[in-house]
Amino acid sequence: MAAPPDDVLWARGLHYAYDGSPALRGVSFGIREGEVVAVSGPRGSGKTTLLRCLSGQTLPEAGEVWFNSSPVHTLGRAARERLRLHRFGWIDSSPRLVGELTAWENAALPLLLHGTGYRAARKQACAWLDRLDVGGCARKRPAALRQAERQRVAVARALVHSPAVLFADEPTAPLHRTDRAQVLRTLSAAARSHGITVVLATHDLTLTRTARTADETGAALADRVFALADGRRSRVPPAEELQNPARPEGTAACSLSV
Amino acid sequence: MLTLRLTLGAPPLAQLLRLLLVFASAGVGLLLLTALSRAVEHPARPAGALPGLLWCLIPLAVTAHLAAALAEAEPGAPLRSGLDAAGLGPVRLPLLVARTAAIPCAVGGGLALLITVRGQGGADDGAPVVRLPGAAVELPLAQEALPLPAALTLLTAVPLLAALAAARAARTGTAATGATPCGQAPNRRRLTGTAALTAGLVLAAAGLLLAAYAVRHTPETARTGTPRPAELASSPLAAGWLLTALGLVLAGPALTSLAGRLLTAGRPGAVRLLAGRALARESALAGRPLAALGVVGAAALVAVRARLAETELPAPGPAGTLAAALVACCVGGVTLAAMARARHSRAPLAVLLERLGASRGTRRAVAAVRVAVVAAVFATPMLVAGLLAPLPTR
Repeated sequence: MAAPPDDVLWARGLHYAYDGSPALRGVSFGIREGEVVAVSGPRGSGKTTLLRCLSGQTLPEAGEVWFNSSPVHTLGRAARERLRLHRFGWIDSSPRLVGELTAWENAALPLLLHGTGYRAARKQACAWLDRLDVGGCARKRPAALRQAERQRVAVARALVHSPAVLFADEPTAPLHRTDRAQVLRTLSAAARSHGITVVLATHDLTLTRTARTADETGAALADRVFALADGRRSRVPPAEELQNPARPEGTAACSLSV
Repeated sequence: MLTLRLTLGAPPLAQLLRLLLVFASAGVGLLLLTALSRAVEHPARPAGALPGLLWCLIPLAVTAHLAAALAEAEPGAPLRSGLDAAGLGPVRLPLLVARTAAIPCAVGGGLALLITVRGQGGADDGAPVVRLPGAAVELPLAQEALPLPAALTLLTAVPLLAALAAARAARTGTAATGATPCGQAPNRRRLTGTAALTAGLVLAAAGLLLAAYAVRHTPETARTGTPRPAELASSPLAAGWLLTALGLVLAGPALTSLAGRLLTAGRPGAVRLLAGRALARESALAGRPLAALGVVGAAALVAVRARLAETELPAPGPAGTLAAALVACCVGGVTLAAMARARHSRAPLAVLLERLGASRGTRRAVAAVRVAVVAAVFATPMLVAGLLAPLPTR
């Protein structure tokens, strides 16, 4: 089956189960180049599993995943690792920084794994840290940083090698609301200005009205919302509920020059 | 019952350590009883048994370390958090851990007692004594009866010390796991800087010098034939060897850390950077056990040299052989536990590297570089100490 010509990443009929308990039950997904899609749904709805299947970390039990008109689900482990290293970026809900490396070394890790030289990697990583307003922490260890700063270093690590697709699995989960909005806006602004496709998983989109309307969930920054419930695609929340000018109090200042 | 269930349901490594602890405790018990029997044999010179008793401190210390390693390994992080939720927090957990460490030691002590009284039907006149079948056991135990209170006092020292060491390790372990942001290993307050390195190396060098001095300046009257093991044990030569071993063990963490820092010198790539920094971080965990393993290797080297060359070194008696085997096995167990802990502390990094898509080759290269550097770092002092350690020549 040929891929839709304008979709950079698409999946059809994904099924996956963890030791018999189903996580994905026939999910189809497509995303165009440069698009920002929010995958929303409560905990346990299969968001993380969907992102893992799309990024080639796990193979779906049934269904197909295509990236740039080439199949991902038939690739071997080494080829999928190469694909992840060169074309994909990943942000977790916790920063997952390497404690013994400094902030810039953490951010430069994908480049160093590519085999980029030490100086070039440092220059690029420090540039990304500057863009994300954590340039002052470049020489600090993660233990000396605040959680929001750590998460921004993780964002820099995911963007530093200019991936084609960025997967963000609840990147704001451990943060307070002010920091959430800041991290999400820097992330989406960076992705848009560099033409990076973003698949963003958020869980609190459908829980409360304030969360639904505020931009702290990331849904307001997304072009499209892909709602999941119990491993299946569910009704997409109406667009007018996502648009609301109300902002949470005390939004932290951040630069959008990314 | 909880102790029993935790004991039975423990992972294989903990069971191995526990088994080792039983045998180590039995061995230390036998060594202590040997020292006691020597004192009983020569009631006129009780000070003559003191060096033997003091030498028992080394197996005793190693056994306590083994108990501490068991305490750090055994309630793993998931079980620990479960116990914490159930009310066995940082205050009561050390008590539980002390109990689980003391029981194997008590079993070992009982085993030692059983070995010594085997073949004798007990005291004839009802006096509280332990009769030792010197012929049945090859250890130089006294043929006459040992005073039971003294034997029991010596044997209870092992479980007590092990329980204390385990409780201390469990307490520091819970304190350290409480504040570990972003998967950092628990940092212990240990001297890992250049001060420790200098102190350790100076001690080792001083030990070697002392041993060389002792070999060269032995009075001629003492050079009449092969010295007995007991004489060697209280000589400055043995003290020099001991000092060298102590210095090497003290320098271990700093040496590992230094090697890690040297590995990341210049402009490292991903492999050197990850391997070097991991080494520097794990030096506090694995430095001392690895250095102790190196010391055991050096001792083995010295023994081989003594066997090959024509030396005045006496063949080690059964007590010496037992002590050496015991220390070597315990150090092996402690090193195994430290390796397991270091591996566990590296688990988040492995997950991250898989997320990022680092190839298997890269991950293997990181592990290989780390192992090679550790081997080089600890083989060098082992070879140097083993080959330079002076031996009394004929």
